[in-house]
Amino acid sequence: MFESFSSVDSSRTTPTEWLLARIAGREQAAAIMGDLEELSATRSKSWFWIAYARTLVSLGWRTPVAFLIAMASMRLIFRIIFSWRINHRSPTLMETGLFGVYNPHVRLITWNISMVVAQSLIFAVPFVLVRFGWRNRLSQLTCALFLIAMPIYSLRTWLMDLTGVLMMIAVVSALITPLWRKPMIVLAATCVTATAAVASCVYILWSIYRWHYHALSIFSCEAIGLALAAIVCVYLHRWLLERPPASDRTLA
Amino acid sequence: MNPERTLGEFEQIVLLAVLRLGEAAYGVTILDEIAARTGRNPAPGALYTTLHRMEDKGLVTFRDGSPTPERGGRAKRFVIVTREGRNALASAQSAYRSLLQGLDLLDAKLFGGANV
Repeated sequence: MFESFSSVDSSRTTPTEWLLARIAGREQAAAIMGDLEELSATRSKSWFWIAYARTLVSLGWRTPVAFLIAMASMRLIFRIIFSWRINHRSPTLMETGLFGVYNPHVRLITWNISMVVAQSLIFAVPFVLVRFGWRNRLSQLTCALFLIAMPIYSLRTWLMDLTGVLMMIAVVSALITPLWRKPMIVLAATCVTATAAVASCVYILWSIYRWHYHALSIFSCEAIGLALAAIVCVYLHRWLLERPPASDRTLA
Repeated sequence: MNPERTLGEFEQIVLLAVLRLGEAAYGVTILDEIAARTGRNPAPGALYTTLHRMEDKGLVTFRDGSPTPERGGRAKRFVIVTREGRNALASAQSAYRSLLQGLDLLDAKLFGGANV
């Protein structure tokens, strides 16, 4: 029979194992390092390092590649949206729409929330699609919310109002449905981190340089903020959506 | 068949190796078994990526063993094929068998009559 669960001696954790654990999780990293050490007993030291590097790349390439693709896609989409917006008249808060002319504050809140969510999703959609694949529930939820959020850029008052309402319904529905609650929490945390981190970086930059900062600095702020969001997304996904306890699975 | 349970060739090889090894299936023995049975020497990284993906699909699960000195005090992580894994493997193998039925792969007629 299998031996009982036992903890790995953490005092022997090396920097290489620590690095692998960031990608694969602590237990898996320890097992992989153990396997590599056992295999390298009959091979050379260079074999160990090559196998270690290849394992690191095999298990970890998706996150940096997903991040780079998401950054590039986001720039492209924003460029398209920007050129669309400068060629079309922006609606005002006092137009009729769904909420009527007497509720500009409702419109202000829903438009701003929808706009921030849409901007975060423009990064989140390519990131989760590349990182986790289409079949993942987080990816499916992110794509669904992205489709709901995009009409916020239509510049039609009633459509923008409707987008805000649908967005809130979708988020609340996901949170009260057990199947979609955890993906929604991961997505919400990712979007909040992205927004807060980018806003904080830009604020700090503005406080120091006022209007004299360089476009490259803004890009760096964005990259740092979104990298933080990507890390939060991957960690929360691993924590909440991966690795159900072995007892929950039917063994052969 | 559920498309999420479709197995790639290497996934089938790994599952078969794990089933052959039974309770002794962990990284090192799986690599050895694949090398011995197929003549291939897959990179450890390829095996761990495949196992990780199959764990996400619910095809395999893991159980920790005890730490051993030759592994630097680290525990083995034994691989267990779940019922879903067995079903997926059975479906994939039955598809192969169905396609092979009535074919003689060494029959020259398959190559348009030419003795290739």
